[in-house]
Amino acid sequence: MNDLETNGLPAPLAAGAIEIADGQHAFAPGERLAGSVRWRLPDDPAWVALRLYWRTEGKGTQDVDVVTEERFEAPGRDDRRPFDFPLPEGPYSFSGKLITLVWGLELVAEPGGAVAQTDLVISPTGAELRLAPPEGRDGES
Amino acid sequence: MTRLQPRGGGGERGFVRSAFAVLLLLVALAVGLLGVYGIGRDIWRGTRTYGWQAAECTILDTGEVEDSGDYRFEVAYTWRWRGSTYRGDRLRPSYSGSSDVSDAYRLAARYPVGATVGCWVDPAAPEDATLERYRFRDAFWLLVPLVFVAIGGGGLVMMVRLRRGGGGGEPAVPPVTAADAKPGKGTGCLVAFFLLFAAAGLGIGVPFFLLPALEAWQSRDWAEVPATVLSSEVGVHSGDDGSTFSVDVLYRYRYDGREYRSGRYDFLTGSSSGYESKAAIVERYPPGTETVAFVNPEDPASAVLSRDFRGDWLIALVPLLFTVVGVGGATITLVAARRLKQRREAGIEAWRPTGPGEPESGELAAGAGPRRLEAKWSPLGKMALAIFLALFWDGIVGLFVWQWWKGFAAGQTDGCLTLFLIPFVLIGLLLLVNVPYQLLASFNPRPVLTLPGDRLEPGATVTVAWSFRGSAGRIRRLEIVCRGKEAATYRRGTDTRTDTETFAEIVLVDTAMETARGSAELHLPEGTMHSFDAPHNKIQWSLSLHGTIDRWPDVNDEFPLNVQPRRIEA
Repeated sequence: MNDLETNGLPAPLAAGAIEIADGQHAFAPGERLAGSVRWRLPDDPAWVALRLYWRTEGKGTQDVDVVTEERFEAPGRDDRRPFDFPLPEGPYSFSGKLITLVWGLELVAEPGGAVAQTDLVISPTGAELRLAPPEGRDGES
Repeated sequence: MTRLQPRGGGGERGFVRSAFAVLLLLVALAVGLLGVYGIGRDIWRGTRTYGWQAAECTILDTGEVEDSGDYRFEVAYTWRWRGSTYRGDRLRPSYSGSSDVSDAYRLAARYPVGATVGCWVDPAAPEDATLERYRFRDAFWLLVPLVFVAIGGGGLVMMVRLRRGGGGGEPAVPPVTAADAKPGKGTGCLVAFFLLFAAAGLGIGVPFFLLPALEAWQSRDWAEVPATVLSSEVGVHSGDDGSTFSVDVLYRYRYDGREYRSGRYDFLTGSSSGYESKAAIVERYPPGTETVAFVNPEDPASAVLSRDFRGDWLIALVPLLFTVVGVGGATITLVAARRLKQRREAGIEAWRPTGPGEPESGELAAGAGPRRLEAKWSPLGKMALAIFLALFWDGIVGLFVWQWWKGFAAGQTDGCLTLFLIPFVLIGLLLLVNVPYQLLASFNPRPVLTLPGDRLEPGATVTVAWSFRGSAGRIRRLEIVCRGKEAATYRRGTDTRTDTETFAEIVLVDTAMETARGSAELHLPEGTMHSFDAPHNKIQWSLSLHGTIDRWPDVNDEFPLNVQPRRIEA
């Protein structure tokens, strides 16, 4: 577990990694998401979970929703576990003038907080949808 | 891609900030504990009087003493206990007087000189007695220091937990998903916040407005007696937000052969802004004025000079508003949380918009019958909204206009106030005009839009049919447009704002012919976004219908559409 990313921080800080099969980060709705997670923690964790979630970014107050949470049984201080679950029908990853919706995976330990995070794209086109205003239109409030 | 985000305590600056917070919390805790000790000791001593034995006391002397604006009833009495005579002056534990002189006179009437009354003697120390036992309602003051203890102690516990939450002092990275890890989390806090609002409204509204209003209503049967004004002045009460004023008048009157004094002008208590109105009242009652007081025959120490309502009663609207907002907010929060829970239990994601096509209302299969779209606002709803807005806005602006008018009538026009009021009054006039406009619009032909029962998805083409109930012939021109909008809600200062941005605009109909009924094809682009409904961020699809009518309010209706993500192929 020497290759866990620690952003140059000295041990024994929490560190973790999320590895998705084939290094893929863009998915179609309903596709399966598989891979493995690794972590190294300074203390024995009460629990470790991988969360699939979406969040909004942009002008509005941030909304976050956890869609799937997989809790790993009897997690060790230095451990590695596989994961595999289906992706939902929506919402799609998109980016507009006011709102951007981002999908993500987050590895969370207690104690320890978030030990690894990664962003995903879920869309029928395989890319984030771009919402462009019609020509000659400006925003209103 | 993996990220690890360290977050420490912020170095030296973070330490200073934490130390300062701890210091403040310790001070709050210490002040609270001191208060709890002081009031708790009074409660303990007071409750002991309930173990004392009944005796008879003879009143020797009484008097009313003014001390820093408070009136205190002083009494001296004697009692005999097992052959010995003792003398005391305690009315009851914790008694220290009242700002209302009537209370002192009420006590004087209850304990006349020479009377033999019941009292309570400590059998273990018979030199200790009291005329009245402890009042348990005084124990409510304990809540004040307890709030300090809760803030100080709770804050310290929270800080310790946060430190521990970091893993034995290690800096923890808070998860992005922390806020949503537990659905419905925060509902209790929000409900408690709204209930606090309601409690504040009731706490002020009941004792300061509701009970006085009830007393004013009951005072129709009170006795009218001659009264002499002893002193009168405008009381000035300095506060953080400027001074407030009260009518401080003291008068004497006789009832049933006994003289009383009262300091109540009317049933309102406390002070408020507006010096002139109080000064005008004081001017009517200079010292020595012979006037009339209204006396409660069941409690002759209770009297007022005026039973009329005055403008200051309008302040009662503020605690009423607090109560309405508090109760309404708590109810809406609970209903929303319950609905969210039901949706989650039914396996429906939080982001799915409600309305036609929502899975919980029965997912529409291909080939199902046509479905009628519901307008966002019914004519009755528009009318009710117009009336509410006009009443709300013009009610508040009206109070200021009334103040302005009083100044204008007295020849004291305030130029700044006039300029300040102009835009508010103009908006108020527009809102007023909107009421008859909506009334006329409610007689318009009502549009009926239908869609085929198929699920509406990006890339789909559906036929939208329209018709009207009522005289559709009056519509000269018809326009139906499908729009997709982003709506983002955010806080700026104390305001909550929502910005919208149109990202799709598809014109279905724009015609001056055949306006009464017809159909048009709606094609949603392949790569567009479906409907999305999060608490602060939304993607909203709708059909907007505009019908132009000559010399009459136009038909304007919006029909929300529920665009679903494409169904996953099995």
